[in-house]
Amino acid sequence: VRAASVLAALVVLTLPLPACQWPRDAEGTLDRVTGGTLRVGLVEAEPWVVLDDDEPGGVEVRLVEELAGRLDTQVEWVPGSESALMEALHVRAVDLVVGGLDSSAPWQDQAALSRHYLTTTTVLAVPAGDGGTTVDDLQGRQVAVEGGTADAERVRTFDVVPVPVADVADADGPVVVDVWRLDDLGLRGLDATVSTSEHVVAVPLGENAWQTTVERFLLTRSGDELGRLLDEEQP
Amino acid sequence: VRLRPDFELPRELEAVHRKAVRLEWFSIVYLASAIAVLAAVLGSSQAMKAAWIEDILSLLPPLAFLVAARYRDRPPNERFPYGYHRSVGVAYLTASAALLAMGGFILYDSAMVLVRFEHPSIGLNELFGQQVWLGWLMIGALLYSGLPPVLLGRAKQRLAAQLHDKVLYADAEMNRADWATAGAAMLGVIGIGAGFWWADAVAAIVISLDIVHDGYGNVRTAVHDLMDRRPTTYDHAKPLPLVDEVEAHLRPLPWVAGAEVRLREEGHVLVGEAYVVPVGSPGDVPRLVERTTRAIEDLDWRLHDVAVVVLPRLDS
Repeated sequence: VRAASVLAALVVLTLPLPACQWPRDAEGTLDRVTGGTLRVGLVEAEPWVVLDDDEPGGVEVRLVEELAGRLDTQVEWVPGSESALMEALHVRAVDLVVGGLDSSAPWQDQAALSRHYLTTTTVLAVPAGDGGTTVDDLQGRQVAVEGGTADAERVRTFDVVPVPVADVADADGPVVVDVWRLDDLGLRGLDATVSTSEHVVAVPLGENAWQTTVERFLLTRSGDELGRLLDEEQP
Repeated sequence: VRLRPDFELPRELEAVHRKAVRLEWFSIVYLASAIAVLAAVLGSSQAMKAAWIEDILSLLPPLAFLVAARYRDRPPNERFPYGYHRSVGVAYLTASAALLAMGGFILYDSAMVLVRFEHPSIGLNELFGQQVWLGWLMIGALLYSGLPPVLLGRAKQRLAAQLHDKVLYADAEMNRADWATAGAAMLGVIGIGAGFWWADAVAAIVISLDIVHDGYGNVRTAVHDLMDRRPTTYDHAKPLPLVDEVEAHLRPLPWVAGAEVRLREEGHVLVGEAYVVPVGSPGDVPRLVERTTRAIEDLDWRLHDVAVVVLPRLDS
């Protein structure tokens, strides 16, 4: 009887809450940002955040601009290193950090990582005309892979010989490439995933209303929209 | 080497024990599912973590009970002439110590969250293509992990009383208190959602205090059991009256001038010594001792291997 009454009290207490803003922020970030200024930390990471020109570009920069438009918010870009920006997020000096962050990033104590809005994979691929080639056929053969990436070592699990290159677009023959680039480069992906990345953004800890607003915006982007943004960033 | 006689539960209690074993297997299967459900929605909530760890820890008493149930049937042998009853006590102590240590760890961890002003977040999750606040899923998972144990605990408590089983009783007590853990964790989750960052850590501290309390009580009981404290009822509430009952049985016997009894608990059973001073010319003492030994064991099913020792006088 005691258990039942406590639970009943719990239900009664929580019923009126979802009527207003739910969940709520610990420090009111969403209310401050809406119609105000959004401070966004940018970590350079092609094609997600590109800092070559005066104005930042990249897939995630475009996404933030669209979100800011919906919230009627002025964006203030803050370029920096990932470590510095995560510390800034921890002390709430910025409201959002983007830049090719992955769900496995080790920032749990400094920041809240959003739910992943996009999963990208890299695969072994061959020229589209190269009909019938399978993963087994590539054993012992040279495969072009962007130098200095984890993929350059991971691809060895398929018993191929990695050859580091600056851009796989310039290579002939088999390559390791992002699935979204296959069509543009005239490649055919093989049934061999080299790596998978779940893309996230980071928000301050405890800002539940702000976090769910950002997450809802990102999760409702269609695959077409994200694909179009990625295509615009093709080197 | 003389081995202790085999012990068997009375026929009607064998059925009760089988029921308890089934109930504990069911508990383990259910707990495993609750642990999996909670793990799926854990998030960064400290209170959820505490509730989850408590669920994992509540696997220990059923496991201890089932291990003991398996060893209970083992007859004494040359290496273990007193049999395996004490294995119950060892399993019980180990499980309680784990409980206490884990409770202490969560208490420290949660207090540090509070001290460092760490703000937990709960964001969105996707369920069947819909975006749902993860907090609602957490509360659903907590309802699943918090309500059924209350019923399980009640059923186990009845069986523990019949079987005089303290491990089963400790398990029943933990189950019965589970709704409080789940309720505290729910308040923590709702606190996060309401923007009260401290609510979660406070809820976790409440839960950890409960685990520490459980752990401390159980370690105490387990240590006391292993130290041969005087036998108590299954819920440790009061001493068992059996020592007095055996003395009351012995003293009026025609061949007995005086008698004193000492008993200790080994798992389900009570063992010990009955010191008897015979009257002037008692007759055939070995036969009297044998008959008296059997009569003592017929007094109560828990009395097992009580040695009748004949002495010239009682003061030592």
